[in-house]
Order: sequence, then C-alpha cells, then structure tokens
Amino acid sequence: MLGKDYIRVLHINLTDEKVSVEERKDLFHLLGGTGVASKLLEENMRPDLPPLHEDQPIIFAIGPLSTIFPVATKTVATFISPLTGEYGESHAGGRSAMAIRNAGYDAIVITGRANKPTYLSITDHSVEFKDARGLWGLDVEETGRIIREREGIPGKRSIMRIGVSGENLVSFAGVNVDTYRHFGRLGLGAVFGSKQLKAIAITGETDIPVTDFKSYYSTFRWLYKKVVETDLMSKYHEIGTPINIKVLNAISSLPTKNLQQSTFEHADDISGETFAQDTLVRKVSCVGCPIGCIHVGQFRRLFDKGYEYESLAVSYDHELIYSLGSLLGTPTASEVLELIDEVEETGLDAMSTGVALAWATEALEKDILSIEQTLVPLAFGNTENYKKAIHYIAERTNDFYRTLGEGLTHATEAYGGKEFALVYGGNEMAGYHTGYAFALGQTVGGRHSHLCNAGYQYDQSAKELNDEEIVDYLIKEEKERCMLTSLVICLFARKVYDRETVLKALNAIDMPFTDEDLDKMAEETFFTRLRIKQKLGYSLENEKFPKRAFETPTRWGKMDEERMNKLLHMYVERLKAEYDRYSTAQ
Amino acid sequence: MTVTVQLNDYFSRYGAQSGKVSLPDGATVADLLSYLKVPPSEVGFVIKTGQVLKETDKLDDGDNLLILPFAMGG
Ligand code: SF4
Repeated sequence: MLGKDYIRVLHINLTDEKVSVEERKDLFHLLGGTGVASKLLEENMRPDLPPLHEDQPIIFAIGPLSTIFPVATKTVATFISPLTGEYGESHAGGRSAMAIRNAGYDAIVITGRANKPTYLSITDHSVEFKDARGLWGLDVEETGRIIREREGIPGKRSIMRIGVSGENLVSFAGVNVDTYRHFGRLGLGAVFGSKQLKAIAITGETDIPVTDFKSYYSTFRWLYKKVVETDLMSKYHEIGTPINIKVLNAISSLPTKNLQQSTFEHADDISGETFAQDTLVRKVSCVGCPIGCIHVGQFRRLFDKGYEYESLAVSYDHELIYSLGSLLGTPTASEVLELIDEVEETGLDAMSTGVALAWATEALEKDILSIEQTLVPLAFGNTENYKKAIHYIAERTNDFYRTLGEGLTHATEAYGGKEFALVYGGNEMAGYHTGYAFALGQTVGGRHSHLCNAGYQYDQSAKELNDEEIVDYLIKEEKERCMLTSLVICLFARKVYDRETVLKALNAIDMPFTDEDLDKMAEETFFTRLRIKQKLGYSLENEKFPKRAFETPTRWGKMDEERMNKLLHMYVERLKAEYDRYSTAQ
Repeated sequence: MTVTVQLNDYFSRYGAQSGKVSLPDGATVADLLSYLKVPPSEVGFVIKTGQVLKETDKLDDGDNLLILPFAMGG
C-alpha cells in the first residue's frame, strides 16, 4: 500500500456475506498486480475442485504505480480458468485501478457463491451485497446503464459486469469494464457467473499518501513528458494497433478464414486506415493515460423496415479485426463492427469467439458438422449468420453450441477437426501468424497469451531465426513482464518503463527498490505461476500444436512441425533447469 | 536509378511521402531509408514483389517497394 509497507487485501465471501481486511507485509516485495494476485491465488485456490466451484477465488490486484503515474492503469485478475482448467490471468484498464486505489485496497479476494444474483458495491467504507435479480439476463450495456444510475458518482467509479454468456458459464466469457475495456481471455466472466455475481461497482475517496510530493511531482512530470513528447507511444493513438492488418497481410502473417490463408483479399477494406477514414468517431483513454488508444468506430443498423436505422459505436483494435474480420472472411469494416457489437453485448471474448466460429465454419464445409448442429449455414463472409451464431454460443442454444462454448479443445474432442482448430496452450489463437516465436510463445506463456512474452515481436525483428535465441527471448521477456504487470502498467507503455524509469518512479514514492529486488520479484512471480500450473495438473510436455499452423505460410514461410516440437522440448528443458536453480537458491 | 516507394501511413509522422525516388546506382535499402529520413528502427519491412528485403540488399532501377512498420501489440 502506498506510504505503508504492506499490501491491503479486502476479502469478500459471497456465501455468508462476510467481509474482512488484512495487511500483508509478506507480499510487499512483490509490488502488486501479477506478483500479488498470483500469490493470493495460490493461497486461496482449491486444486481438488473444478474451476467453477464456489470455493474457487477471484483475485484483483493493482500496483504501487497505479493511477499516480501515467499509463499505470491496469488491474490484474487471477482465477482458475474454466477454459484451460489451469492458471487464469487477465488484465483490464478503464477506471478499475483508480477505483480500487480510491477505495483504499491493493487487492481483493472474492470467494463463495451468492444465494441469488448479486452485484457488489464496494467503497472505502463499505461493501454491500445488492440484489441483481432484475439485472440477470440483461446485456452488458443495459447492466452498466442501470448500475450507473443506481450507484451515482459518475466518473469516479468503475463497473465490471458480465453479459448472458458469463451467466451461462461459457468458458470464454469475459468481464466488461467501464464499456470499452475487458478482462478478456480464459473465462473470468464464467467465474463471475458461477458465483451469481453479475457486477462489481467500486469507488472511494481515500487520500493517496505521497510523502515527498516534490520528488513525486518532478518524476511524474518527467515521465509524463516521456509518454507524450517522444515517439514511444504516439503510434497507439494514431491509427493504433489496427495498422497491423496491412502489415501482417503483406508479410503473410494475417490469419484468414480459419488460417487456410495468411493473406486476405479484403485486407484493405478492413485495414486500420479504412477503419479510421470510414468509421472512427472518437478516441478515448483509460483513467491516468494521456494516450487515448481506444478507437471507437460507428456503424448503422437497420432495426425496422422503412429505412429505420440507428447508429451504434463500439471500440475496435487489431485483435478484434483479426478474430471477427479476416479470420471469418468478413469483407467490410462496418460488418466487423456489427460482429464486435454482438460480442460486446453478450460479453464473450472476441478472440475465442472468432476462432471457435472459424473452426465451426470449416468443420461444416468438411461435413464434420451438420447444419442441424450449427442451426445456420455458417460461411466465411456471411456476417448475418455469424451474428446469430454469437448469440447461440452465449445462450448455449443446443448441444453443439453448448460444447463450442466450452472452448475449441472440448469441441474437437467431441466432434473431431482438431487439426484445424487454432488453439495454442488450450487458448484460442491471437492474431499473429508470424512464426515459431509466436506459436511457441502463446503455448508456453503463463497465461497462454501473446502478451506473456511477445513472440510475435521476435518473429518480426529477427534477422534470422535462431532456436536458442527464441527460447532465451521468451523466458527473459516473460520475466520482465511479470515485473511490469506487477506495477501495474499498461503493456503499451513497456518501452517507457525501462528499468531506470521503474526504479526512479518507485523511489519517488518512497519505495527504494533496487534492480536486484526487481529481478528477484520477477523471477519469484514467474515461478509462482508455473507452480500454480503444476498444482493444477498442467504439464507443458503434453502440448500439441495445431496441424494447420504448419500448412499456411508465415513471415518465415511454412513452419516445420519437427522443429517446432524440438523448440518446445528445448523450452521445457530450459525451464526445468531454471526452476531447479531457483528452488535450490530459495 | 529510380524506384517507386509506397510508404505505409505510419510514416507520415516523419514527413516522408510515397512516390518516385532517384538514387545513385548500386544504392541499398539502407540508402533509401536514409534518403527518406525514416528511422531504420521504425521500419519493419521493405517489400519487393512479396519478398522481404534486407537493409544491405541492392535496389534495381524500376523497383516497386512497399515500406511498412512492425505490427504492434502489447
Ligand atoms: S495505452 Fe490504451 S489501453 Fe493502455 S492505458 Fe492508455 S488508453 Fe488504456
């Protein structure tokens, strides 16, 4: 906790509506975020019980820099993933970190199951369990609107909420945060749903104790300038990550039509440039970030005959354009926005949804599935049918969609078609078919995300591929990110927050950490995640790569399956050696 | 020699523009980038007929070149 030497943890039990607060000095060296949330998960999880059992916890944690330094905007959530059955970690910004900080907590642990649909109202002086029966069944937007009206305090509170997909326990349901941000991937929404927890509203007025204001303020100014007056972040504001569409398309790395292709004939029609020119209406920011990378696009929807249109606005970025655009063969920007809107409304994770539907489309083409199962003739580029199918997944309309809602690993066990299911490490693929480092990186990453270790970056910048170097890069990058996401900064600011900057910022708030302290906490966190995975029965050795990944060219041409498996083996061996070294040193 | 350059929108911040560029014979990709005043660290790919070129690759008269940044993300 800022100005103190402990982490202040709020414990909430939904079953008996009991609340307690503890001060944990022993967690202080882990900073916050990933470091603290992974440790609290390890302490509170029940490896003997399924992921959606009421005794499994949800943890949120912010970090020492949250809100008081630029772009330190994210909250880290940890949980047992209903998608993979092992470690779940997801990050979201919006106003969440500010609200948790103002409520006076560094971390929140939620356990139990409410006896009726409930939303939590957390402030600096109370935790209330509010009746959400009237909200159950409502979409994400409507839920947010009603809670906003009920709770008041506009601008200062954060509202996390689920849609029907979370209520229905879809394994890749997410949690919407303040409309434009999400705890996506790995199914935190289903964990909320399993606890009958529809939403959390959080706010507070706690003072932020800065002991040496002069030192803090001068460091803040310096950092702020680094963010806004250098080239380090402006690219995220301009066209933003959708600039990737043209780039990845040109280097044969844009997953298209279930990765049957890595270039898309409509890439120009759904490029970042086209989105900006034809749909962009505003850019918004998480609280505490001067960048504004959240691009909001507008589209119109016919809601009745007689030219009755309404205009709607949703945020877009690379991952959404990939998963609901090129991967599904969606030919125009406005159709991509329509699909994003459906996913937003139902509260699904966009990437897993797009990958699941792309697989189902090919499975239907190959007669592995029948139209009786898919209910509509899914076909690449057919937006109207995908819109219906998104609702079928969220509502678990029939046996097929119920199984698809468990994720592609489960769906392929039931129906086959594993060879063209785009799954790495149990998680549906992110939008970079760049080569070996991406494929290995998502597979081995602590949370099976391209954000764990940015393998896609190595694939692009390497002059030539070197297997040793790939393994080194992924491990080194993931450890450093364990530290950055414990502060907790937005990873778009990772080039701003180099070691010197992190140490300067911590020192300015009276946390005299050294480079060595950061190395130690990064390593401890890296291995805590690994240990949690092992306790949950996960083993990297059992990982398999989808055959499709080897059939479609990447930026480096077609990947070789044997080399990929050798790389995985090398990674596992390195990890074992590192873990032994680490354990012996403890 | 003259080459035709198509720069991605990303590079508009450096004032560089797409169009024809005259370079001495034997010029390389690195020479072109320095002529365009585009920081090489920001250039992800220089592409000629679908092939990614290296900085040391020599250019030919009449080449059509696509210049792209790296794909970005978190
Ligand atoms: S760069 Fe974007 S995602 Fe990151 S904090 Fe700023 S607005 Fe939020």
